[in-house]
Amino acid sequence: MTPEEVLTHVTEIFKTVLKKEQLHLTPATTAADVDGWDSLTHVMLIDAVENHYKIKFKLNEVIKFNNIGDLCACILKKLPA
Amino acid sequence: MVPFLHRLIHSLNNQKGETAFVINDKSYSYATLQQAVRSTGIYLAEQTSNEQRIGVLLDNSIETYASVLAILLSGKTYVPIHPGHPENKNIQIIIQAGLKTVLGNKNQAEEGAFNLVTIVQPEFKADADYEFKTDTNDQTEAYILFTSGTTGVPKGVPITYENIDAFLYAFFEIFNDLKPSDKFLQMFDLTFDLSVMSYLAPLCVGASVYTLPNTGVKYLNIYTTLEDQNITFALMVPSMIQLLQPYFEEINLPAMRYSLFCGEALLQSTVTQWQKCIPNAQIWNVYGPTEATIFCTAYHIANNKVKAYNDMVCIGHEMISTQCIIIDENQNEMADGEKGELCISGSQLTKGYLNNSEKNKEAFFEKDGIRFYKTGDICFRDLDGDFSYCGRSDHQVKLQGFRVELSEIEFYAKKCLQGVNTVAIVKTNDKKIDELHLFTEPTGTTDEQLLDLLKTSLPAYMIPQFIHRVNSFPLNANGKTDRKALSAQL
Repeated sequence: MTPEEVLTHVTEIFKTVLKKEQLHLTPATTAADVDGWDSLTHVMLIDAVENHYKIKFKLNEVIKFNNIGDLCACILKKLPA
Repeated sequence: MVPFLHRLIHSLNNQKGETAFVINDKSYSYATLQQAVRSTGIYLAEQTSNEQRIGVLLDNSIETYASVLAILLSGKTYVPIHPGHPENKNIQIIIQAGLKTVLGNKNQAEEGAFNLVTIVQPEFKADADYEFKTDTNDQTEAYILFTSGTTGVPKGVPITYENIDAFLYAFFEIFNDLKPSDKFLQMFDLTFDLSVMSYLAPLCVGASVYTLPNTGVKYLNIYTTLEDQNITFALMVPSMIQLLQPYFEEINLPAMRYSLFCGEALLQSTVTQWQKCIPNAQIWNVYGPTEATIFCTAYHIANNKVKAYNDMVCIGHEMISTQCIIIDENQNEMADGEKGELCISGSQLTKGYLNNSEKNKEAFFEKDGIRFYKTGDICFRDLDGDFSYCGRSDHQVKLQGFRVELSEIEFYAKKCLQGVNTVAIVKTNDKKIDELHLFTEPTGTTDEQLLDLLKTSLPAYMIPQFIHRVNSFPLNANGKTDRKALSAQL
């Protein structure tokens, strides 16, 4: 899977969880850039991403997700080559 | 009992080289804090001599905390205003409190609400000299916080200098070994009264306050602050550790000495796991409404047993400044073990809501010459004298520790949807996290449009995570909307 494909999937997941049809994510997007991305929705987003890719993040990975790019990179690392 | 103003001044004068605050990774000494407080104090004395209540536009900055302390050390009343809250709410707060001056950064204030006031950030002067006021009348309001109101009008709760002293007296009676080397977490907006303990208690003992950054995700910021800064005292809302629970096995915080929870029900199943993350800490579940100043009952969770009702940890017994009774609907006191409404009296109790005689009549009453506040919380007292929380007598809920009237959400949702009926419900998900659901009758408004409209009237924590459309609401035997039946559909 390419980084672009992961970003596309993650964007779809975020659109569904945050109920934002027009949401546009880039690797540089942070929680501060997206209205409604708070503690509670963050857990829902992580949960949705984990379920979608059938992966599990560790806490020391989650705390390093400073932006969408970090999240996508971590997903890619966990997916089978 | 040493008044808190004296304790504050003692710390400012005697801890000069020590750290008072760490904000966004920057340390501020007590000496710096003292100068910032003095600079603001001079402004208040020169420019606001006819104003008792002063607004504070909140920011995660030393200036915000210096403003709050300068207001208190000038014998005035602070009224926190959150720039991220809806304009309408802030307008109502400014009008109800009669604010003319708001201390804060003008760049943070949007047009609208803040056109009603003068916003000033007093200049920091390294040589500012100002004599702090320590003889403030006990009955003077120290702060006013606004809570959710059922019809969209926030209720102002004034807390006096005496109330704060009574709280701190009771607090230090329990937590009596706090010292300047302690590091306190301050995770709360200053609009939330748990913030008062989180900044004031440490400053009273010359300890350090660690605030959270505004950016990022709150529960993760809490974890990194606890771990990286070796926090020793943390008052948190239970939902924050609920969110961290999937990662408990990775968490080890040996520096923590006291872990307190307040603001919503603490679950026994969660806290027994949390104990393993903080091997050297005492865990306390504390309870209290804003009307009774921060918290007024406390329960120490021992290692070997936790008292709980329906998985909700017991809220313990009264702290030293408080007395509690349980009453039935006719205000008769109930026997131990019987459920009824918890009522609070004592020197932590507010003198009443701001300009709201109707609510005051509803919420306060006298019994045998003692004034009580009806909390709306259904509780019982056991034979040990400990109280257990069983639920609410109305539709008030706690979301991330914030007190929320579901009817306020319904009020604004109905307004946004031109009169269509709506029902708000909180449902706990399988991870034991509370989620807010809004049911509405069918409308042409999309979920996204409705959420955008709600955000203009409600703060973020009151915005539903889920919206459901139903053709009609189920009714119970009394012809009222059957909330349980709706909840069962989820």
